[in-house]
Amino acid sequence: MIKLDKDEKILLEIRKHWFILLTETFFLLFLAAIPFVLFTGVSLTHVLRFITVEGSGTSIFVALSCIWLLFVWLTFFVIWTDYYLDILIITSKKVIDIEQKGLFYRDVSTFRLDKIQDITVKVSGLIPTMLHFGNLYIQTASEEQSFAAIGIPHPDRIKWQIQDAQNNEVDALREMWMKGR
Amino acid sequence: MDVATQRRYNTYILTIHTSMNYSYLAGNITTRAPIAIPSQYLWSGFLIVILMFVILSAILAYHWVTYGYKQKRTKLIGTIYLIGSFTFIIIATMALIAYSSSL
Repeated sequence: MIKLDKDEKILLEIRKHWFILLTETFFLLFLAAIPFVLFTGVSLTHVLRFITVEGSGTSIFVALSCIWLLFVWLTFFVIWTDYYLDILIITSKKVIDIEQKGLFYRDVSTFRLDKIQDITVKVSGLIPTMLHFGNLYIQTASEEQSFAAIGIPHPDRIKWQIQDAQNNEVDALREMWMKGR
Repeated sequence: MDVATQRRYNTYILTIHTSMNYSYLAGNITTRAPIAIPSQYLWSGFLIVILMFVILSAILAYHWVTYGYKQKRTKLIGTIYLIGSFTFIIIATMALIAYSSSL
């Protein structure tokens, strides 16, 4: 769970573009089609006519197909969970970068907006250009900390939104400092 | 070839064919014993699959509940996941019951 300050608001929640999820799960379509292709192939070509099974062979085939499809279904949700929990959150005060890799690796990094030094956007390739997604690199004042959000939708727009939020935060800090003097 | 010779030839061919053993052609198809898969093995395998499914589902549910901070969406996805999974499990169970009763 994400804990925010009292006066802090979530401005943006950025997940990877749907195309990334599609490319990661596309192979599952082929895996899911295997039982149906097998069944059609065997029925049409009669390649298994030499093999006879005691009892209902169709029932075994249906049971094995369902188990296969269950694991394809499960794999889809594992990939979806990875996609869903991998998120970049921009609040009015900070950036929270949550990186989920598989089910057992999770990396959460947080840095204040006023610490951002440079934001770079990279869109390369035909599909990313057509579908408006790309990479966003954030460099902070701390030398070791730089963040990369890969395959996010509308990176240009997000860059400007982060910079706006950063300007507002810097202004607010300046105002507080002026009041304090 | 005159009629008598033709008749002799036909009789000769017929004699050869009837004396030949063609049983290897059909015999392999029809006389081979069917493969018998004991239903206990299938049910044991199915139990292992269900066990693996339960463990993986618990891991997924933990992630959705602990890290998915928008409960509405994770609930919806969880429901879709469970409906799909139970459909497959129920069909597989019914198919296995059908197989066991067909033995």
